[in-house]
Amino acid sequence: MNPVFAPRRELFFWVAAVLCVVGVVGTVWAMYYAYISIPPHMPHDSFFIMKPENAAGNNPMKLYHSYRIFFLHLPSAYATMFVSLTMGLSGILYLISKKRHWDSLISAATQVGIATCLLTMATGFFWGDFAWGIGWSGEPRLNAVLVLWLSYLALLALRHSIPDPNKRAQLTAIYAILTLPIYPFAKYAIEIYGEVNHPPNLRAIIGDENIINARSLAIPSLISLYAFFVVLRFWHLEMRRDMSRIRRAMQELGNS
Amino acid sequence: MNASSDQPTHRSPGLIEGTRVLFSRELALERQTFAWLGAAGLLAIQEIVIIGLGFRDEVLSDTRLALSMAAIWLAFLFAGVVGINRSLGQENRDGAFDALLLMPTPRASIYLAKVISGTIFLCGASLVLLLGAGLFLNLPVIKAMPLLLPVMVLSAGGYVAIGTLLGSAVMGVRGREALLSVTILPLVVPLFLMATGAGRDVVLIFHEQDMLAISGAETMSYSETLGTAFSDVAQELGLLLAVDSLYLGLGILLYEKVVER
Repeated sequence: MNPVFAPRRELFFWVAAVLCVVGVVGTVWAMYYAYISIPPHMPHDSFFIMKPENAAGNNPMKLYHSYRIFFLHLPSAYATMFVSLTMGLSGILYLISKKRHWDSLISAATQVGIATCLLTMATGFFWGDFAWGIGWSGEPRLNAVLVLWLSYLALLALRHSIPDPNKRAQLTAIYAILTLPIYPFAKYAIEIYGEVNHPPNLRAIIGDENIINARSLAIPSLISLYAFFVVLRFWHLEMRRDMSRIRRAMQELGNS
Repeated sequence: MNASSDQPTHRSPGLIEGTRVLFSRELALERQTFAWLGAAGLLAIQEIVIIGLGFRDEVLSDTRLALSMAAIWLAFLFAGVVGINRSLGQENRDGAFDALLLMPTPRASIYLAKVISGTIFLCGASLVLLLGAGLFLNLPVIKAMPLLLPVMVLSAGGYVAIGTLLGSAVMGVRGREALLSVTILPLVVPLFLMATGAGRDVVLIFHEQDMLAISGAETMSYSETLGTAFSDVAQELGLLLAVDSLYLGLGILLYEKVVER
């Protein structure tokens, strides 16, 4: 049995290198811009200045700098969407082609998705606790994102319960396809249910040009960084699979 | 006439005919084993009794009513998992499922027969659950039944569609029962978000009318109340139908891959 990943290592090295450079440089730049460079200059009717009645204190200045957490929150949410799409599409491609690298991609994307989803929920929780006086308001979108995170954990639990690699890959692909509708549900939960604290669209409520620029820089940079982690994990899984193939082949050679 | 035309021709049953035949088999199996109605129905009643014990000193307020409805949906969820586990576990134990796969029917007909029968049985268990809730929790569920039933049927349909697919997938896997619960719950939460909201709204409207009648105030007629409740939950019913169709479509498409040996 020949290693299958080794010949494509060079391509993956360059993909990983580009994503790493774009991700790290872009993220550092975006975070510098978002946390240090932008002056806290917000219009008074902005979402971030508005003080809900249940929040602690009455000083609107308390919310002044808190919007900066959204430069982590928003890219993580978008990255979760890409992870969800990657998983679903890889699942479909695995069922069509039966090529095992799609299975490795699902696994890598799921593991990174657990982190991005958790980061989305955690940053949202901290801001909600600070601004609204309640971290987890139990709104449909929050619940839907939690469900998405639970589905990623369930997929890993499913993978770990099946020793046969072919069956494991098959069922992982099927489960990954089934998780695909959860993200659109999370996305449109606000439109479906309405009247919630969470804004449906941040673009509509942020008018400041500096913030729009920082947001436009942070989203692609952080997504590149997360994509780099997916590629790195995928690389690791493929190399591990190649190593186990080589080990098996050597054992067979030794036995004969 | 040549020799080949003398041989009897065998036509494989199509999707609908295969589903019909396999549905009869599911009914016969349920009559023998009571896998669904026995386990799921009994569990549902026991849960309602325990919930009733928890609420025995509480006045029937809006909060208690909403909590009771949430507890009913929880009971429904557990009943469904138990039913799916028992019915598919039985097939797995006897090796009947492998024999089923040898039948010359499309694989989708096995899935459809299981989904249709499972939905009917879970609806039966839900009916027991709702009647128990009316009796032990004093909820106006009997009056609200014309609207609660469609919510239950649609929820049961989507739940069993995804449950049958996943149940067949994890058949023969170590720790199958726990794994089914872990994998199915995240996928059915969107369904339950809509069902719990719709169920609570319907019962709350009927409860408000009951309270108005007790206080001697003017109330709506039964048909007016039904109409108001329906307009409140029409969107949720539509969404439930859409999610059911999505899950059923995915199930029919993926079942072949799930049972691939």
